[in-house]
Amino acid sequence: MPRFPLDNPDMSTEEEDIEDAEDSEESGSEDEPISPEKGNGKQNAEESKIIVQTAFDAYFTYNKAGRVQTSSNVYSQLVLPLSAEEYASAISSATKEIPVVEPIILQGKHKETIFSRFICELNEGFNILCYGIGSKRRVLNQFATDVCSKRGHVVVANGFQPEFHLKDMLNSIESIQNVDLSSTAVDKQARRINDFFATHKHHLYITIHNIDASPFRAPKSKSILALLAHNPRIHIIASIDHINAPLLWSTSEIFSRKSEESRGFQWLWHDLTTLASYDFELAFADRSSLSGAHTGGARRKVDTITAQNATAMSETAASHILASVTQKAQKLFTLLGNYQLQAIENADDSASTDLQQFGMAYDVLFRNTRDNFIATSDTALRSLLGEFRDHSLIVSAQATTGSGEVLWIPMRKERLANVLQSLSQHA
Amino acid sequence: MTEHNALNLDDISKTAFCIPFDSTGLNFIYSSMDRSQSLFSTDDGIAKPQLPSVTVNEARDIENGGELRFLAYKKAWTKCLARIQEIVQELQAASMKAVVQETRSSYDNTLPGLPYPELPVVYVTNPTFGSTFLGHITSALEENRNDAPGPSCLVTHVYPSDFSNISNGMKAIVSGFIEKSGLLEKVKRKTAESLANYDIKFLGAWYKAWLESSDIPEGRLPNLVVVFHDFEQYDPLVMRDICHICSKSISQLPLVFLLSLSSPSTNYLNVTYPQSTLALLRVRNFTTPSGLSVLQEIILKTFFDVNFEPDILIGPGVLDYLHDLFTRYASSVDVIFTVIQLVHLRHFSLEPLTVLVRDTPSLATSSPFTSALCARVSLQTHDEDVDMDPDPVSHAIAQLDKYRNCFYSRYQDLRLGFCVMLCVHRYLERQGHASLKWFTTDTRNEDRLQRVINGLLSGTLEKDVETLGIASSKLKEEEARDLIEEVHAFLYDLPADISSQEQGARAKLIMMKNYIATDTTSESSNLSMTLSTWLVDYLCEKLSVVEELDLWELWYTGRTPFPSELLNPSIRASMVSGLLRPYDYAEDPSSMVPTEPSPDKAIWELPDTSILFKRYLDSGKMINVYDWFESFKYVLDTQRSQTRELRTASPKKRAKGKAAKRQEVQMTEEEEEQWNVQVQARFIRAMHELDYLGFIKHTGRKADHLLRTVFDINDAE
Repeated sequence: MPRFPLDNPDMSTEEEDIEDAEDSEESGSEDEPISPEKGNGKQNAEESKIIVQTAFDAYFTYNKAGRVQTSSNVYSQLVLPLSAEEYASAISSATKEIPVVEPIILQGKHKETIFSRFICELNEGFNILCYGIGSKRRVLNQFATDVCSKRGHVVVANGFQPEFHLKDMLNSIESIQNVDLSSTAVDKQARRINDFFATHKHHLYITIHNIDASPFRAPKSKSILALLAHNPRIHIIASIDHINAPLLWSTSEIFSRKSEESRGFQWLWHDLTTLASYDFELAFADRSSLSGAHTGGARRKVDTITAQNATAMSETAASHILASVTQKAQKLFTLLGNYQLQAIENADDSASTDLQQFGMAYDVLFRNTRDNFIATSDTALRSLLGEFRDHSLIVSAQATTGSGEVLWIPMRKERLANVLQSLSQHA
Repeated sequence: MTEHNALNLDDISKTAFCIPFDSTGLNFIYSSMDRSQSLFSTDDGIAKPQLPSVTVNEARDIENGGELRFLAYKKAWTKCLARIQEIVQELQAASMKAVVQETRSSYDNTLPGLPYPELPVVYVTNPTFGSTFLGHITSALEENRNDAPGPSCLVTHVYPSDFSNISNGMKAIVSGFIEKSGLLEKVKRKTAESLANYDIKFLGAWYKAWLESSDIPEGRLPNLVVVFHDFEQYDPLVMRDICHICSKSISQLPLVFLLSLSSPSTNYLNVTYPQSTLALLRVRNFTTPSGLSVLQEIILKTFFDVNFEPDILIGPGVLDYLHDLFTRYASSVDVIFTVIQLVHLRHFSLEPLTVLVRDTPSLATSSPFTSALCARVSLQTHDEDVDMDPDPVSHAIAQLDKYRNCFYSRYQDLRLGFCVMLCVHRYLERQGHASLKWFTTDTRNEDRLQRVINGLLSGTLEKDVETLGIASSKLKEEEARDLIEEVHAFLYDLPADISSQEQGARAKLIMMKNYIATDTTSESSNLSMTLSTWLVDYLCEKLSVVEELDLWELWYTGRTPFPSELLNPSIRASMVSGLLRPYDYAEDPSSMVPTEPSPDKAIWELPDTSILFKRYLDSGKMINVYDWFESFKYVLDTQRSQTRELRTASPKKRAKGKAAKRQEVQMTEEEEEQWNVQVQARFIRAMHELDYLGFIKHTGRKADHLLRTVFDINDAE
């Protein structure tokens, strides 16, 4: 049975309890993770030496029909998410202890060889795609500034940034030509760039970090890139990190050579394993959320919104906002916060991270505020809420059941309690 | 834009950066590599192109060898490229002519009395040539015809991504024609008063205006050809409406649709579109040559043709790979071009001596390159020769020129022999005799010719030569005479220099022919026997292996395999091994000293992401994040105690065990707290990295559970 090497009290099946007993002897040697075959007696261990398990076997072993048996521990309940500051200080203190492995290809002569190979292949009409574990940003940037910039114009695009848009890259390219941006449509802009570089004296080298990022996955972006990539005077060197990134292009796109009427990339693939951390690429990830680094087109937006709803607001930020609003507004916040806390406590399924269900309907809130002399009219209440909404301390959405608006505070239970407590102390 | 040395690429608030080229500001930073390059830069400040520096053999490279080898490469490749392009054009000439003819005359004789006009559609099945074919068609269609002024057709190209919906598609067609440069001066449009840019009437108005402005006679209206690339990728729903719209305005606009399809099916339209759409179209089918025969034609005519001598000969290692790639993955000419170009590039970048492929540059008397060359040459020659020669460099150069001539003449013999073989083989096949079955269409024998070429290069064609000999010995008298005639004609038609070299063979053939002509009474079998013996002797003499020659590796790639990871990489394997065995990447593969295989690293010695990934591989298809975290923490705890042990143990090794234990105990509560936060941060960071790499799928099925996406095996254990 696949499982983690640690003894786990919550694992409930009998079979596993037996395994646990067996494993506890082995667990002294923590260097060896316990593989699925282990723990079934010596005979099996011998057999497993003869019969080598392949990735296919593993796939079918792990994807058997039936329930997946894992423990019932819930991470977000048992571990309090880190705030951004805590995370940053912890990582900076940890960097001294983490072992650093520097691949040979990034050292001295090897790097020069690789760079000279890249530039030669680029100039010979290929575009380059770098894959492998580790952030390739630093290496490619160095290639762009040290090598490409001596041969032509260079544009570097950070595809991994969530707010990146293809237009940023095109605008950057057009800033070379010093022409007025008469057309704002991206495809026209791309065609104009293509025409410009068809006759321009100097070449253009485009470095794209993470061409597999969601802004580049759209068919439109792909066709624009394909148009630029086929231009004999435009060269693209890009990096990919996602394991399924090669699925982005069809074989004809991958092999299509630079010529008049073709659209394609003519990729050459290079293994550029740097083993460097992705801290810069993930600078935008929400470190307090498990899915904070997930990169998936439409899904991602939903994820970031829910993630923000759950944890984005820190205690300090909330107290700053609360300190700057009127007393009435503070009272309104306390009212809503207490209601929400109560709702969370009353709820059975406390594992859920969706706070919307604990929110208060607008009309209920209005009635409550009128009863407590916080706001006497709809306009007054809306103006009180305005400040909070601007800072996302209170968010609202259309109710999923029934009609009307639902308002809630996007803060985890413990944090909300802390904020309310400090607010009452100040008052 | 700021100056490049002031440009901060680490600025997180910007998504794109631009470094404009500045030939004057070149000297801002020079690393060691750049300094050497700047010596050889051109007038406008751009470094001259050169081949990548050779790491292994750098010491014995000629000064400025990268550039010289680049020139040699460029020369060899351009020659080869021109030849292949010529062959490709030849291959597609027939179908191109037919397509151009049909497109031009689409409106010449329309059927009278149809209930509604039909939109002419030229349907081209074009799996191999891709856009090069369409490019050639475009230029052929747009060129002026002798008999009439003005172009015969106007061509615009559209791509699947332009046709996301009807208005975008129409816009692509309309603007494709209108924005064609040099036809009609652009008029500033007022959006309120003019037609929309996706309206076909707009195109109609433009066409009318253009006809009026140019001096095209009334009866010769140029057709408007729309070329649809990769037609399978267009949305049929959109295309149905577009066909409908365009067929409505045929009376004003002579539109022709040229559809290019890469699947070899001729009834794609019938399968995908309803009768109501097909009724509006008049479809004409055309097919370009495709499949393995294209590859064979290109290989044979480029590397095994008497009339063409490439600078380098490609060996079986690469040809096998090319064959495999072409038949299995992508059967397009682009693949052939790419592979052959890469082979050239690689051949010239690996070996410093390849600078001498075609000619010998003036060499400095004492340099590592010349001494390496001398050493290499003296390896091949007999010792006494070297001792006698006072100047080793000039001797080496003379020897090298000899080797070069020797190689090319052997290579020419090889090609000649093979062509004679082909000539005889074709004759026998034409006459219906049992022969070699080189070009059979039998699917099992698909790679037959590939094996023949391999046999030719490795010198194992004796059996085929024998078969030919036997087959020709059984010929009747007239047949033998015909065959002699044919072989003689072939040898006679060769380029003058080769033909004169083959004087002996020709004389022999004429003798045989005359012998047959005069002495008709003797047994014919005797005569075909003579022919057969001559043929076998001749072929055995010609077909010899180039690998036996000295310094053959300068002109022949031999069995060197193609670096397939350049075109068809195994990204998954690379990523998994990067995670599981990161330390392997730190080892120098080029170091000549065979190092002992480093002992396997314990899990705590790995980077965080690797630790987490190892635990990932141990789990089931669903991962409980908390358990994952706990197992990670366990390893980090070990890591911490181990590193502390190492630190304390090194100065005084004896107190190792106890000291470590004491350390554990001494950890205060505050430290413990800090440690936990650190572990959590490192866990989140490693997990986010795995997520970023696509190893995790989020699911809402169970609270805080993740799905595995990769089920590889940790074979390091």
